Amino acid sequence: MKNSTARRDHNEPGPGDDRFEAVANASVDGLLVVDGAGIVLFANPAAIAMFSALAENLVGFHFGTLAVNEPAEIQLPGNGEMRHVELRASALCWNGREATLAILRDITSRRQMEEALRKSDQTTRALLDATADAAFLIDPSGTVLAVNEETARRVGQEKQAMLGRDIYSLLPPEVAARRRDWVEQVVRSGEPLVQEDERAGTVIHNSLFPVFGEGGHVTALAVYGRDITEQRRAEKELRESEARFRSYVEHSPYGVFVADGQGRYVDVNPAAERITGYSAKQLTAMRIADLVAPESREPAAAHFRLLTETGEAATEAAYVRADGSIGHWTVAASRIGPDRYLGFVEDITERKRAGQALRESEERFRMLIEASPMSVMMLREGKYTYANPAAARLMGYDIPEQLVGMNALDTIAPEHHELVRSRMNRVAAGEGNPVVKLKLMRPDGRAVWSLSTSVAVRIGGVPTAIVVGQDISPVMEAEQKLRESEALFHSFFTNLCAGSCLDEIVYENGRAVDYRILDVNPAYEKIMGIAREKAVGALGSQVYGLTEAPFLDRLQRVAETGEPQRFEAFFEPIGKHLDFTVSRPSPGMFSTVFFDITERKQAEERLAVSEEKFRLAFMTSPDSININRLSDGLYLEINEGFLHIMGYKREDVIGHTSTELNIWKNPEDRQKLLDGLRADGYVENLAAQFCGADGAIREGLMSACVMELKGEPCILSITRDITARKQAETAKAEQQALLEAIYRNAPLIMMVVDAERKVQQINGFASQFADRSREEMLGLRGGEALRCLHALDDPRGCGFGTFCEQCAIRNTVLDTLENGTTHRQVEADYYAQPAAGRTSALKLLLSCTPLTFKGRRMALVTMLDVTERMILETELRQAQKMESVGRLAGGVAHDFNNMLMGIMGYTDMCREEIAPDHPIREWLDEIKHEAERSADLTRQLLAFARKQTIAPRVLDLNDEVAGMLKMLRRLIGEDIDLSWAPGAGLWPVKLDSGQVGQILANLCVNARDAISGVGKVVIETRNVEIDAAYCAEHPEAVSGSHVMLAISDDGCGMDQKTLAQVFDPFFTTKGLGEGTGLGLATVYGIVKQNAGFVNVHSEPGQGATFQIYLPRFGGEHSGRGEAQTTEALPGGSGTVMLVEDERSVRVTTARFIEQLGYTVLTAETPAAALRLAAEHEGVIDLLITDVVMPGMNGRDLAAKLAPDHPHMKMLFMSGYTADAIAHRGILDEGVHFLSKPFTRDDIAHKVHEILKSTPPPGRE
Amino acid sequence: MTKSPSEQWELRLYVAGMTTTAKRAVANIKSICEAHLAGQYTLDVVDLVEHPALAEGDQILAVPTLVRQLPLPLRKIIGDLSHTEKVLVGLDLRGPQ
Repeated sequence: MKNSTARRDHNEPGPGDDRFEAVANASVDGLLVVDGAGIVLFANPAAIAMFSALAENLVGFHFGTLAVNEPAEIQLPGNGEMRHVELRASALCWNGREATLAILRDITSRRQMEEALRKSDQTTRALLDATADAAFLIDPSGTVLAVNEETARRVGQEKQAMLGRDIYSLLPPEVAARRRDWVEQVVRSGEPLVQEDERAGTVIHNSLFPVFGEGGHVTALAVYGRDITEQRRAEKELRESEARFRSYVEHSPYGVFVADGQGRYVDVNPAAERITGYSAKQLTAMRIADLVAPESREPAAAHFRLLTETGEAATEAAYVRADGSIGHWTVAASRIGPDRYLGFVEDITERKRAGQALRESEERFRMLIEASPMSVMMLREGKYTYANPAAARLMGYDIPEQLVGMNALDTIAPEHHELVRSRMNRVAAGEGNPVVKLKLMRPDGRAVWSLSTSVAVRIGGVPTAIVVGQDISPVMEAEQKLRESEALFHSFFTNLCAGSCLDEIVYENGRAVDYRILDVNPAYEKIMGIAREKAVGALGSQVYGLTEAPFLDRLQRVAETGEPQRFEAFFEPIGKHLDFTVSRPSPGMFSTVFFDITERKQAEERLAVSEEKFRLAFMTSPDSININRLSDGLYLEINEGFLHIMGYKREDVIGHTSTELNIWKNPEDRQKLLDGLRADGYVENLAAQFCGADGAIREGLMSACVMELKGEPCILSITRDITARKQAETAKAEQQALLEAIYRNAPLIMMVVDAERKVQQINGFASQFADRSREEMLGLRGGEALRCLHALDDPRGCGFGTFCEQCAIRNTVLDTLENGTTHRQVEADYYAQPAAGRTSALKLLLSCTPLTFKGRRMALVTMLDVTERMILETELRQAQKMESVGRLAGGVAHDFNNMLMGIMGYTDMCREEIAPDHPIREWLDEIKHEAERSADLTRQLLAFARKQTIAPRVLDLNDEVAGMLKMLRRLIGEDIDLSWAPGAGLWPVKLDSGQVGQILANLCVNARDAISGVGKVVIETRNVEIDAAYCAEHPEAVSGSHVMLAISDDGCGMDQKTLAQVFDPFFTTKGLGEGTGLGLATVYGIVKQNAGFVNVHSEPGQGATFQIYLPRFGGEHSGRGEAQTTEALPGGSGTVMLVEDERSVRVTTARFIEQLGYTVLTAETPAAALRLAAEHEGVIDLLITDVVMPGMNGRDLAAKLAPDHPHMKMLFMSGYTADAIAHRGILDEGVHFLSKPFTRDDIAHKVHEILKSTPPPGRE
Repeated sequence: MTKSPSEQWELRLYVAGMTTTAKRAVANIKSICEAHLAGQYTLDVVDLVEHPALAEGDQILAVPTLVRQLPLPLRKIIGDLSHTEKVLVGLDLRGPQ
């Protein structure tokens, strides 16, 4: 207790000090007493604590004069931490000197709290858009869509419970009505609205913002309510309180009273009651003047004037006692404060009465005086003439004689000179002086106080004063100290803004049951809201209205142990948080100093809530949030959103910078962020790319602001990951582009038609197809747009013409539109309006699917022109059909021809054996004829199947036709005119002449059959040059030089359908049995075999023209060594080996050759032939062999025999050509071949021809 | 009045940041100086937030503090200087009543 020690050095503790000490030490406010020069006289522990960093011992420190009127805030710098202190100063007297009491209240934590709250609120607002306000979102009908904690708190509801409820139902009716008006106003105007309303003393600032939905309608309202009730400033803490003056005067022998400026008694002591006979209560209702006797009114008034002017006055006066008797007193009064006077009264009634006797016994009393402890002096003309020993002691002299002759004023303190002079004057006038306290100066300079009175006497005619004094120095010092202490105590007891009370414990049966309040200060009344009158003297339980006085246990402990306590607690009776400091002034008592910390507590709670809100928003946000230090960019904090989006681990990020982590894809984005923050303090929606931990690029929208965290400027960044959105956008754009490309480039007609089948959308290919612009087609019906032939019937097109009911396209589209059915790949015929160079009948593949377009149900129609494909497919089918027929024919032909050979051979043999006029001969001729027809049929089958074995030669077609005219005329009959128009300078062609005959015969028969009755058939030839353009239109055509052979008739002609099937085998328009259906197929087969092509032009009723194009032969023209004779069969000699597995062929052929004169060796199998050849000793001139035999074919057999018979010639015979002797059915030149069935003439001529000729070149 | 007409006064006012109290103190001392020391004083306002080291020289415990550096002896006055009477007495421009 350094300070109290320091104080005791100067002053002994006096009455009241203990309480001052207790309160001062307990006070949380710093208390400083500073003198006029600014030097510290006193400091309590709290004050020392405030300055501890600055000065060890404050007492004696030059602190400085305090110059404040109102309480003012000052700051205490030191140790880098600025403390905020509220300073109140009041004047007081300290050890007799003017001084200033400074009450210092540390409000640093409050200021810091306020600052922290302000910053925290700022940050939270930045994040949560005004979370400190009541904020909620409602729809126009008032249904709550979202709400914050503050709103819930104000309405007194749970947040969750408010959602979906009608906001008006949560408000008092009149408030609800007003709010409803506002909401309607905002919905109507679409403008924000600001309104204030006051309710229950709270002023709310309301902002209503419209939220617009699609279509610009107000779909919701954001409402913010801000409590702007000004915190009521604390009323002036300090009130003038009536100084309760406590005085030692209770014990004074003198009557002591305190009066105010009007002379009213304020306080009296018991002595005054005794003197006046009135009780203290009576006196305080009276005025001094009421007591003054009529004869003393004049002096009393003078006394009072003097008192108010100088502050000091003393008078002797007559007064009226309570019992009506007259008494005399001396009154000495002095001013002790503004409007307060202290008076000392001495009853001198008895003394006055005894005055005379006293004079008479002067001498008697002289001795008494000498021995009196009272100082007695005689004073004449300002000089002492007598002093008793007590006076000498009082005055500081050794013997009384030293005083005699001294000027009295030299012994009086200068400030009392004037008083003493006036008293001396009164003595000179013969009047006495009342008791007065005089300050005397001793020779050693020490001042002593004397309670002094003087009486005027005349000694020797000279007015003389007898002065009686009493040393009252100790009393005066005590009195002085008491006043100071009292004033000091009151000064802070009443000025303390902290509440304070003094209590004593009340015991009952030795147990503490309650406490009694002894005193309270104004701050107590203010904080507790309890009037002093109610509190003082009452029990704690009564005052606070509780069954047990609050904190009794703790307070009892302090009162009993003396150990001070400090605690914060919520004081239930008044609903405030208080900070209590309890100490013990004396056993069984306790003094409490407390102050209201409700605001601080609330600020703490609000700060905690605000920080919790920030923390929650920070941690739960799906967006990436990070806080970086502004100075070096280090990550201080990141949320889960950051880790999730960027793929980092927390420890990899905290303490690093974005540059280290390489987070910015483009460093210029980071520069943009920094520039924005520097210029505006915030950045909004900065689009940037960021690299995640895995290196993947993420697209983000970043908003950032500068905030302060733990005193450091930081950047708070919030980034929204829009990668998925971007990717989706890109994918959508790509998809769009893909569809667009398909739509633009697909070789498909694509169009969208509405319910009326009008074109709403159509692609470029359709425009190309219809040869008109897309714009032109929009709005037309599909058929008209695409120039459907039937649209000509009715310009409205599609569905209005007579053909439309059967139109597959229209019906399909209708089904899709009406029933929503999807159709795929429907084959449809389409007939286009005639246009140059285009086939008008088209095959389309139609797909039709329902779709919603422009908000309506429509159909997407796609059409693929497959006309060409269909043609090609038909051709392919045709070829395949021919191929299969050919295979069949080939397989049958071999055996069938062998059989025909047998029939024909035996028939010939029969005819030779019978007489020419034999009746059976005619029948045999018929058999032969039928066999020959059968052979023709077989040959034709092979021909159209291109399996016919032919021996093409270079020939002039004109010669061939001319040679057959006779035969042809016979064929077509006489009614039909046959014209022959040979082309001039015809190019050669390479062709089997037999095939030319087949072509001409078949076409002429066909022409004949088309003509009923009289008609005309024209055969013509011409050279034709086929160009590429022609080929493009005729898929079968081959470019180059061709010789054309055309056969035209003026018959019935053919329709399209017949035309399409004209070359199909077995297709015939003739009646059953009239035609084989193989004629034209044979023609087609021959032409194809010779690399030519056929064109047919015909229309019903217009006749038909078959044009056959044969390629021009470009090679050597080999001579034609034909000597067709019809003479008798040539015979010959030589050895012929015949190899044939078919018995009938072998037998008949061997007989024919033998009849011709040749020697014949017959063999059934190749093996037998080899054996026979080896056994035969002579020459074999000719080998006639079947081609197809079991075990070995004819060709291989010939090859085996050749070495032994180098001059042997060979003739192959077959009903069907295998590749053994011919390539693709065409014989090499020089290879001899005879196709079965053959006649005796055929074989005779052939054998003769071979044996006559030179050996074949190039054989083996 | 204890000042002599030729004396030059040097005053220094310590503050810590331009708080409302500091602004009030500056305004008060300026008006007092203009009224009583016109033309013969210099007033130096020291902000301890900017120059913390300067506090030590004059042993400043609290701010605002007004220091009379000249004429000697050194005098200190604490507060917002709103109590003109106290300021005048503290500066020795007027004796106590």
